[in-house]
Amino acid sequence: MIPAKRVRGGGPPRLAEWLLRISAPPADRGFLTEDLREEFGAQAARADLAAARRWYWRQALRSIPPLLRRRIGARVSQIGSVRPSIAPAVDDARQGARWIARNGWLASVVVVTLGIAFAAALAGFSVVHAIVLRPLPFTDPDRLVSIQLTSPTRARTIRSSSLQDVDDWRLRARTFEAISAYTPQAYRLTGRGEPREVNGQRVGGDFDRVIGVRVMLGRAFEASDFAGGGASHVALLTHGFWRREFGGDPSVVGTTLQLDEQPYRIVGVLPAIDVSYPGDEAVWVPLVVRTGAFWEASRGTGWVTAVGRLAAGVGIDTAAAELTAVAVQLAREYPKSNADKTIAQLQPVRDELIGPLVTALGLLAAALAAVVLIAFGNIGNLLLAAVSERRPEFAVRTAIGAGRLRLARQLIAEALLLSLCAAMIGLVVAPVLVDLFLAVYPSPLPRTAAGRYSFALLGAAAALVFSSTLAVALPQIVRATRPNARPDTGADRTTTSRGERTAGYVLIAAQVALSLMLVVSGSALVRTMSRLALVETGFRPEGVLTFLAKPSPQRFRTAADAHAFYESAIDSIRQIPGVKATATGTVTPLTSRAWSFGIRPPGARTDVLVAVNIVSPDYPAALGVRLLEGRILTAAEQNNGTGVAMINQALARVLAPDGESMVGRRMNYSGQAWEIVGMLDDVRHDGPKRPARPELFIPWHMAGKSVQAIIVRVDGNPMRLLPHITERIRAIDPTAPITDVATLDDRLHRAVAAERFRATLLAALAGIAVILAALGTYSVTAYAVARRTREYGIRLALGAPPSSIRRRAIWGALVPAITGLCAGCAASLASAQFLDAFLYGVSVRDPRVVAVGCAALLGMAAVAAASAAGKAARLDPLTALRPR
Amino acid sequence: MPKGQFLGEFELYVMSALSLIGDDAYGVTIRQEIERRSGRPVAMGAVYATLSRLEEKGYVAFRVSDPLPVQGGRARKHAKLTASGRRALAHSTAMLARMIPALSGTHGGRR
Repeated sequence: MIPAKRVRGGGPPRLAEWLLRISAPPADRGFLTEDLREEFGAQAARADLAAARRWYWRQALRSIPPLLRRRIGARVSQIGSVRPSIAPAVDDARQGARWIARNGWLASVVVVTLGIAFAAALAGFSVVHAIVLRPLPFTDPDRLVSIQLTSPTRARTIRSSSLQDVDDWRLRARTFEAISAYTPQAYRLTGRGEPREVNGQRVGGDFDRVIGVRVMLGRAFEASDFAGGGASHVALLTHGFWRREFGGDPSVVGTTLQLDEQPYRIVGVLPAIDVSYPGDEAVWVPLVVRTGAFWEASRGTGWVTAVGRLAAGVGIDTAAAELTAVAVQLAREYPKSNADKTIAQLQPVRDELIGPLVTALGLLAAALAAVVLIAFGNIGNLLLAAVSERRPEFAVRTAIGAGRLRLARQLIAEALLLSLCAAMIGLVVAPVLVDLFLAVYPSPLPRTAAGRYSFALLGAAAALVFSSTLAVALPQIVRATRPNARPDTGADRTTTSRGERTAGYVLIAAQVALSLMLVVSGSALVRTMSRLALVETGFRPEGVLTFLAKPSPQRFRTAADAHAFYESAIDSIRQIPGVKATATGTVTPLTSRAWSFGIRPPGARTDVLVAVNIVSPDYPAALGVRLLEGRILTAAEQNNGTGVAMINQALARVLAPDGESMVGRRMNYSGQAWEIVGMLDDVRHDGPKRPARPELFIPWHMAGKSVQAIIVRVDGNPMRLLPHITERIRAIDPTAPITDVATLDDRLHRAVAAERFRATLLAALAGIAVILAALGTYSVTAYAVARRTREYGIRLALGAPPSSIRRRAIWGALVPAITGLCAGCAASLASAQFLDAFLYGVSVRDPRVVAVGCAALLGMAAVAAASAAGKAARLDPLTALRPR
Repeated sequence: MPKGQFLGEFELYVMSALSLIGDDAYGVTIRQEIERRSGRPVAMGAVYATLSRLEEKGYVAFRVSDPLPVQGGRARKHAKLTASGRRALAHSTAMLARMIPALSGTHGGRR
């Protein structure tokens, strides 16, 4: 399923509607919003949409007070009198509001800074919640496990099982409520516009029950659907496909769908689920052994993925132990096929789906948390300065009888008001950020997410308000209500106390430390990007288009027919003006298709996987792969030669580790000796980050009916020629679907999209962090200088040179910055293990990376401190000493 | 009508609107009626809050209609004056008429 982008349709503003919903009494909620929707619809039809939305906002904002009053009033009249006990709180709030109104500039800086931090944090939380924290949309998802087999002698587990094994597990295992299996299968959909390929999932009996979904329309598969080799030809539509293809028409149940030129009766529609599981398929069909597919009937071939639902109360280890016992039994009964499948491994389906994302989203969450903490630090600093200025006010209040508790309550009320305003900004901006994030996220996410309001988001906002209230209020309370605080009026203070400065400096050090971590990881990710751009991929991507074309199995029945299809296709495409070269290959760059076998290199203990690539004569020319040694296969060899092959350099290194030439020598593959006639350069098929795999090229005519990719090299933009290319292929087979069309440049771009995304995100967050830390340093230094004006005046009057004054002020800021840098270095090194997984050709431990980060931050702190301290050096002693 | 239960200004508007509209009275029509006659913007939330208060006083009763037989049709919450609601409205208007001489010409005081 593709992540659903939010559709900003013609509806009323969602935030406004949501605010109305939570304000209205539950019984009236639906009626109230539906009534407003009705009027909104009429307004939008009459005037323009924007005006209708403004009208709706006005309605919402004016509706909330009466609704809340009504709800509170109803409750008050029930309980009796609550008012007296809330009166002091109201008073506190009023005091707080008054202070905020008086200090509008400071308050708006605080609210905006906190609001941005809140928005970032809430957006990050939304994404993590939607994808990781939310339970899967299945009944009891924790009991859902995938089943794999391995043995002590195997290097890796086998994901695929044979249908026979799955049937035996079902019969023998008691720790499972049900076991089923699935395998993906692409189908050619015809009879509905252009022929195209749709993804299907062949699913075993009870599959819906195992994963725990209920068919929404029609019926699920029944036992009879699996009988007689699946002769009944039935299909279930997934919800997404039903909506896309049939516009959600319920009458589609009972009609037929042409899949692979066979009619399939649609028996039902699956419900909408917010996760792509088992895959992003369009249809489910019953999993039965197809006639003619002999391997599907063999116990030795693994071709389905097994999933099971644990019986209630059974632990995953118990079930694995039982299934292992069954596997050992089966290995005894069928030693030929099952000898090396003696250990059952169970993995929760949730881990399989979400697990790979947890680290990537963890990086995002950690970076966001750092920015939020830095923002908190800044606010803390600003308000600490402010509270010092307010000492006279507190002194007067204490003098006329306000207790410490009263002062604390007022500070909390102020902090709470500021945090609530910030939370409003955060709640408005966060969904926009989420949608932005989803729009730029490089790869399809396994679960749908969208910027929408939920109770979880509200809860997170409440938690943020709570923590920021505490973070903002506590240091102020400590400072304002310190018992030994002199009841001074503040007017003639000449210096600041050491303790007063320490709090600000600790905050600066913490901000600098967190910023350094972000700068280091951001710059390491940016370096990764530039490293990847320089990697030699082994092919020249510019002007190359690759796509898959599958001949219809009805028209092109034999291997010779299929070969003829591809031969005439590339011949015909070559005639198009502008085409420089065209070829086919079973393996093409950046498409993750490969057919591999294992060979044992001389003197080695383990097998090495070799990809078999069956290519047409112009493959090297079309892709721009260099021939390093020997010659390429001749046209005659390509069309009917046997026992001749080309290899790539990686395979040569495997076959002859000591570096001697393999050209002219022989190698064994598929029970036959092959003479190696040439060696091609290595191609990084899996993207610049992964090294090239060993590759064996065998003559074209041996491809048989395997699907081949067509490669076209042109002058200029290859997409321009796509209509002509499609036309040529349609002329040969009008029903051949053309899929996976993309230029190599695009594929290369996509291959490093995740790295680019991370680098951009982290660089942006690091930039924000540095700016916040600079502001923090500036404000603390400026404040310290302002407080010490008189001290500096005395120093100047006694003959201190202005430069020493400036030095003093700058050092005052640099010492905490340097402390912060040391802490940040230590933390960066500690996080290296986590971060290095995202990097290529560079490490966080790299001293250059850390040094660059330190230098940048130190420079930033020095500039901020110097601009704040400049005033101190320009002081006129007379003005400084004049009583205020 | 219990002694001392006076109608607020907006309550009076809502009840008048109910008696003017009759059977078709629900959120949208009530809101628009008051807005049209008073010439002031009226918030839907205020209408609902007032209706709920009037229900508590026993002046208004609700009835949820069947969903409309069209695409996206929905149920509506219709409101109507109860017998005591009608009495209270008549009483209030009569009191107003008696208190404000200019109104006496148009509404004769009953009772």
